[in-house]
Amino acid sequence: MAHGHSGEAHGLNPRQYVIVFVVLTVVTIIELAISYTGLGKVGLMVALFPLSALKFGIVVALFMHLRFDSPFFTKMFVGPLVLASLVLLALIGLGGYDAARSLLASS
Amino acid sequence: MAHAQAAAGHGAPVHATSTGTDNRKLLMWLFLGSECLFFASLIASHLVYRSRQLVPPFPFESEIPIDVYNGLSETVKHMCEDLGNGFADCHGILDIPVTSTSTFVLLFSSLAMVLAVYGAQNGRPMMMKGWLLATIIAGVVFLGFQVYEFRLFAMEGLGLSTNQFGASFFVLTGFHGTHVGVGVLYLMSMLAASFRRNGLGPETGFHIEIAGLYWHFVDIVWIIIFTVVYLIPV
Amino acid sequence: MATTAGTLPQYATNTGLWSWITTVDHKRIGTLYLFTGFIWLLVGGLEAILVRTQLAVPNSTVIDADLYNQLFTMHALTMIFLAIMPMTAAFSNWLIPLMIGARDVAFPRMNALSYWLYFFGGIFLSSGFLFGEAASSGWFAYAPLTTNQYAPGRGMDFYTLGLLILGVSSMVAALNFAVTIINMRAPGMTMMRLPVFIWMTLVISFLLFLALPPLTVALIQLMFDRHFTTHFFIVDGGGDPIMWQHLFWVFGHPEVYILILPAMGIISEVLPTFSRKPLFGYAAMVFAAVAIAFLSWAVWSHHMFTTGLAPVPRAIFSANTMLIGVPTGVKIFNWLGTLYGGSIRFTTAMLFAVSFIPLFTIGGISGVMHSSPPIDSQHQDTYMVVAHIHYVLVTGALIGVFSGLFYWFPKMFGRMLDEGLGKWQFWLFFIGVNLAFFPMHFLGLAGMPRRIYTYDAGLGWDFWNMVSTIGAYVIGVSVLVFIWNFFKTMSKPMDQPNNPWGAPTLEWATSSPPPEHDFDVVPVVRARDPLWYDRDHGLEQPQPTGHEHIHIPPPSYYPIVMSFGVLLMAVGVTTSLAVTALGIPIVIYSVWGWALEPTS
Repeated sequence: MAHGHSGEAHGLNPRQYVIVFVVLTVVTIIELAISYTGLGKVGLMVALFPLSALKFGIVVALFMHLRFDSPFFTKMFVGPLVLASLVLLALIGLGGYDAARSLLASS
Repeated sequence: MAHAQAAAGHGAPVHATSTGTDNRKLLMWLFLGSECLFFASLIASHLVYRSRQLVPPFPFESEIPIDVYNGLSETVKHMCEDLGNGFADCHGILDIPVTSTSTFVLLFSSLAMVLAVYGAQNGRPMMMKGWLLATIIAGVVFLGFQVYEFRLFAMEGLGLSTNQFGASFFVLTGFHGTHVGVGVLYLMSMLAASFRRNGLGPETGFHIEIAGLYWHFVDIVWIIIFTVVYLIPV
Repeated sequence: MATTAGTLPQYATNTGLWSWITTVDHKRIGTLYLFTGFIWLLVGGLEAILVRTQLAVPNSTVIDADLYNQLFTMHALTMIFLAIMPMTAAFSNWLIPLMIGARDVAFPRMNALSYWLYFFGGIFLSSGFLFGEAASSGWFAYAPLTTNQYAPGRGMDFYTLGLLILGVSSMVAALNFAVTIINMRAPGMTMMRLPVFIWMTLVISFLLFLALPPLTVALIQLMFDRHFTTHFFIVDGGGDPIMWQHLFWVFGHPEVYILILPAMGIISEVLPTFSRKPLFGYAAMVFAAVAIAFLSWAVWSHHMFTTGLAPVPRAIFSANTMLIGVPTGVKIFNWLGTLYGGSIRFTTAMLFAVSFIPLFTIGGISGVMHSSPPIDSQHQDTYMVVAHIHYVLVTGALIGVFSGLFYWFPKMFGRMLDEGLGKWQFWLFFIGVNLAFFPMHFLGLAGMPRRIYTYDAGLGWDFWNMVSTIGAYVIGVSVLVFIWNFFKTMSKPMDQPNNPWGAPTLEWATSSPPPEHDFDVVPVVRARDPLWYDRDHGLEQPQPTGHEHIHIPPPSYYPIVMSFGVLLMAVGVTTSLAVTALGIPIVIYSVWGWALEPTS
């Protein structure tokens, strides 16, 4: 490329991207398999949330280049992400008071 | 001063920025941070509401008291079966195999997108255009799956007003679908522009990378929605 | 467009309506924000005066009850979204590039877009009055008052769609400001040398683009309830009105800091200049603002103590609310520390800034009172709460805006507002706000509910209501004095030097008003109060070296076209979806035109 920045060699090569995609696919298949095991709600949450978070992290770090880009972008994205997670939990806890109780009762 | 050496990614003249990050890329990341709050609010509403409805269709298989069953309208009654012990069993409406397929399609679109970015950044315009086209097609196929799913639910009797699951499900996945649709338009514009005489100009790699950030974000939102909405029966 | 070094007259070659419609100059957009915001301030003030007139005496029927509901609802919406936020955005627009030593914001056309969205959104939000059906469910629009059953007509549609448009406008502005402050600072302008006003703008920008999405979701759900048969907030269909309150206040509480922090930033600039000593405790000031921003996310349910919140959340939200008094107190003591031992000049700007401190503290203290759930249960929906919010927003945010107007007027318009009239305005305002709002404390404790249309004689409310109404009229007179002052000042020639006040920050290093490119040479920052540092160390700012190429972004009409398309999309929901269908291609057309438009 004429312009150095645009062509900067950051990121993986195509072969590595395909490997990442295969990993993501395998994790998704594992998730699906777990969802059919008949675990309880809490069991499914414990098993599936870390796997989703893993997929989320892989896409953000490798496909979205955060791993290779300025750490400043990571700060600017992870901050709001953490805030969003906390707001999500708080809203479920406050708004879904009954739902949370029934969940705990049935597990 | 910490006046960064790294070029800001502009064409000439190059403006150095205070943190060494490109303004436009920073804008996109901040916007995606804002989008996190948007989808967190939608997902929270969905989770709060979907356990509250009393009438089918339910997302997952559930039992309801027989007097509720007897009071159901014909449009949804077919989903449940009288068990004869004072309860009726209603089958879940979510079709996990179909949605899993569309999930893989969207996952594949992310691979296509990242390869398009690779092509754009490494001076391989044909690679870029081909994978952009693949991304667009995958996005359209995903939307097709969503239309199919919405139609299927509607035929089974689930509408916006049927119950709280319907309302919050359609609004959540509908807004995700809208984001995919906007992304498809975005990428189609990029693909069309890349066929102009000067293509996307000297910053092709940069423009496609920014488009990719948006596209991947829509994908990771689906990763969360798929797990929370489809796989965990709350 | 190249300019040679040296100052060009800013508007001399660049006048006419078209130049204002297509401008992307941050100073002109700031001026547009300022005038539009001020006009809405007058509208909102008129609405308040009508409300107060109705309440002056018992059993009054000056206006009918339905109009009364529309007036108090629109008064709040107008003041918050159309007057105070845009007027602080006017200062942000004017001052961010000037204070950090940049030539414009990071995205000049987006800046124009946020103004035009605000322009059309404001008209749309208020247009309900034209049809006699403005929103009338209170500014926080609690369900079920907003459902089709209790709010027939289009009033709530103007509310939901108007706020959605204004939300997009704020979002665009906030993202733009954040990127500008983070990335466009002059050499030497480190984060811990930023003027406090800029820090406050950065903090509220983050609050805005993070807090608006939950409101957006709530508004979308409300719109679906009203138009597309869902039951998000309708109990009959399994909905939950309390969820509206949660989503609204997740936005609503950061929002009150979005309103007050810029005013705090303004007085943090005014106090040092007129005390002729640097701000006391700069770092503490910055960290206090960041702490307030963080805590503002964990206090929203203190608006909802009477909704049957469980005991543990009630305790957490109560404790967090009290905690927020700590960084606020840090700020108050820092301002006092700035004044202490200073060589004080009581200009009008300084009078407004100094009066901010005790008056805002009154509002802050009643806020801490409300943080206690048992006390809040007594205060809920009484005039005590009305007193609290007006002490925070009128004698806080609005007083900050007036202080800033007197302080930066010479920089913006090259003329000095008349100090004699200014002092008349200040004292009338000071007396007016206290007459209008202090009695509301007594009314609230005497049990007068907010938002009631009228009341019977003999409840012990007659006297203080009359006093409050008189106060409202006095405030009105003080604003008229300001308008007189403005026209009187604008009839004089521009005569102000670069730095009439002897202030320390960078905006005073360029001419008044500044040239279109702001600075002939990008300034160099060597310390926190750069102009005072240079003066005390005998240093000079770099001088123009001859012919320098200065890039000025060309004007664009796409921002106003896109905003108009968005307006059509909203109008369509209240009239016919065909209009919406017309708006969508206009938006898409302007996005493409925008993307393909050359910017150099």
